[in-house]
Amino acid sequence: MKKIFMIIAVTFCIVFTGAANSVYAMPGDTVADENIWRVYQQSEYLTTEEQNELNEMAVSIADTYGIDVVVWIVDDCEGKSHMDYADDAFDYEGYGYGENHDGVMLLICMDPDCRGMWISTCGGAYDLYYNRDMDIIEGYLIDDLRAGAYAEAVRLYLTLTDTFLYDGLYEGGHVWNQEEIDRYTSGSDYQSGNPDDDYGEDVNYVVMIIWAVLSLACGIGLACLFIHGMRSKMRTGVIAGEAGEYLVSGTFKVRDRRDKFLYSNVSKTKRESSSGGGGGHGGHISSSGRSHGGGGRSF
Amino acid sequence: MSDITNSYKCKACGAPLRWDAEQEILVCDHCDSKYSPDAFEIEEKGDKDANFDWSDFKEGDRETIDNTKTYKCSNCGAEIVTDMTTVASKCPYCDNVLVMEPELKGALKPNAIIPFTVDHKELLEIVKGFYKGKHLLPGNFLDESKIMEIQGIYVPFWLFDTLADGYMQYHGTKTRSWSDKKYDYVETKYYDVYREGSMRFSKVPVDGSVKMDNALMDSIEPYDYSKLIDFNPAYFSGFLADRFDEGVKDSLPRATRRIRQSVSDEFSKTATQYDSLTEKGGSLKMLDTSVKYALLPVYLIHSAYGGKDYHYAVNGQTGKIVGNLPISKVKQALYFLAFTAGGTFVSSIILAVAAVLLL
Repeated sequence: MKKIFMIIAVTFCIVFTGAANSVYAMPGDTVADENIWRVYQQSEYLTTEEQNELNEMAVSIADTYGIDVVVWIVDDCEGKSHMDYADDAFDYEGYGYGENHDGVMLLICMDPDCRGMWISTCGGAYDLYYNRDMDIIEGYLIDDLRAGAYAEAVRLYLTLTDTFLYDGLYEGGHVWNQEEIDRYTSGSDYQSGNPDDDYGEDVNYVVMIIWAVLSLACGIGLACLFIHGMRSKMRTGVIAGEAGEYLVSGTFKVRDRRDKFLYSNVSKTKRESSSGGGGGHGGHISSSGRSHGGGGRSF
Repeated sequence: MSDITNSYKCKACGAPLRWDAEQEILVCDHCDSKYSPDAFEIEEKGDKDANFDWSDFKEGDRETIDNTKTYKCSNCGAEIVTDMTTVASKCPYCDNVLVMEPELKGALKPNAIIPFTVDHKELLEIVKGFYKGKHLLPGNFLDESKIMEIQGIYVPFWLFDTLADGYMQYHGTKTRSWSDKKYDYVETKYYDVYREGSMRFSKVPVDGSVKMDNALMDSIEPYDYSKLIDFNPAYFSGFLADRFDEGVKDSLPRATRRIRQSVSDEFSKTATQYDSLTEKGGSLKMLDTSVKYALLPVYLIHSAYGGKDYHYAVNGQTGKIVGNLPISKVKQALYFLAFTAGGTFVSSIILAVAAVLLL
C-alpha cells in the first residue's frame, strides 16, 4: 500500500511540475545571426538607439518563429522596382532561415521620385501571410511613413508581423476584424514595441489547458483499460459464445460463394490550401531564382 | 470430503477399495492390490453384452444404474446420486441438508463418463495458484478466507454431434483513399457476401443441470474426450453425481447458439478481402444430430470471506479452475489513480512531441 502511494505521489509531481515544456514553442532551423543587421538603414532615418531597439525586436521575433524578419530603409532602389530590389536584397544579403530561406522583408524606399514600401515574403513566410495581412500592414504604415515617423512605422510593422506569424503558424490563419486591428495598433504594447501582447498570452494558456485535458483523458482511458483487464481476471466464469473447439477438422466445406458488388460512393474533403487565403500578393520568381510573394504601395 | 466407505471389496483380502484419481484405478490400502474398474462388471438388466451400445440416448429410456442411492436437497431440490455406502450430507449447490430418498431408484444410466484424475492434494495447490497474480484481491483474503466445502461431483452433460448445414449473408465494404491538390477522396464499395456450406461438430457440451452455473460449466471446458469411456458406477466411489433436470430439448438451444456462431465465424474467415464484414442473417439446419448423455467430473469449492460465499469450479480432469473472487475497492481505486497518473505523464510527452513535429 505504501509503495503504491509513493508511486502515485512521485508521478503526479512529475506531471504537474512541467514535464513537458511549452507545447507551442516553435524551434527555428537556425538562430538569428546577430552580426547581420535585421533593421538596416542607408541614412539616419532612425536614431542609433531606435535602430538597436528595433533590431533586437526583429531578432527576437525571428528566433521565436524560425522565420527571418528584416527591415531596410534605403535612399533609392538603384533603378530597380521596389519588388526586385527587396527580393534581391533578401536573397543576396544572406537572409532567410533553413533550406527554403523562410523570411519576410519590409523595404522602405525614400527616393523622392518613387517613395514607397514593399513587403517581400520567401519560403514558409509566403504561406503564412494573407492578402488581408499585407493590406493591414500597408494601410497602417502609410500614415506613419508619410508623417516621417519611421521608428513608429517599423515598430508597428514588427508588432503586426509577430501577431500574424503566430496566427499563421498556430491558428491556421485568421481573418482580422477592425476591432482586433484597432486593439493591437493602439495598445501600450504596440507603442513600446513589446511583441508580447495579452492576446498571445491568453492563447498560450488555452493551449496549455487543452494539452493538459487531452493528456488526462488519455491517462484515464489507459487506466480504464488496465483496470478492466485486472477485473476480468477476477471474474473468470463466462458463458461460451461459440463452439470452435468442437469443430471436426477437415469437415468445413464451402459449396457456394457469391460476392456481389452493390454500389459505391466517393466522399471528398477540401484540402487546406497551402497558399492560405491568398498568401502574399501573388508569387513570382526573383533574379536569384527563388519564389517570392509580396505587395506594396507608394506613400 | 465426507467419510467414504467403498462398496467394492478387494478380491484378495476383502478390504474396501479406494478410487485413486491419479492412477485411475481402484486401490486396496490393506494389501496394495490394484484393480481396473472393468474388473467389476455389473449385471445389467437384459444386456450381458460386453460391447457397450453407443446408440443415441433417448429420453424415454428408463434404464437405471444399480447399487446407487439418491439424496434430495430439502432446499433447492437437487437430486444427488452416489453409491450405496458413500454418505452425502450436504448439498453441493446450496450447502443445505440432504435427505435420502429411498423410493427413487437411482440415476438414469449415462452413455459415458470421464473419471476424476485430479486428486485432493492437487486441488489445494490449484486453489492456491488461482489466487496468485490477482492484484485486486483484498489484502487479508488469503489469511481470512476459508474453504468451507469441497465436493467432487459428476455433472450430467449432453454431448451434441451434428452436421451444421446452411448459409450466411454479410455486408462487406472495401475502402480506398487518395488525394490531389484540392481534395482528399475516400471511395467505399459495398458488397453482398453469400456463403453456403457445411461443417461437422462433435460432442458440443451443454450441462443438463439447472442448478449448475452455466458460466462456470462453460468456462471449465474443454475436456479431453479421448478419455471418455464407458460408464461404470465404480467411478462414483467417493464422489457424488447429479441427475439431469434439463433434458435434451431444453439444452439444444444453447448448443445451437454456440454452433451457429462458430458457423458464422468460419464463413467470415473466407471473406478476408473486405475491410469490414457485418452479418446480415442466414439459415442453418442441424442434420444427422445425435446426443450422448455423459457424466463429467467437476469439483465444486465453497469458500467464505467477509460474510459472503464464493464458489469455484474445477475441471476434475484438467484442473482448470474458474470462479469469481472478491475485488478490493480500495486497491482498485489506488491502481486506477496510479495508472491514470502514469498514463497522463506518457500521453503528455507524446502529445508535446507530436505538436512540435506537426507544427
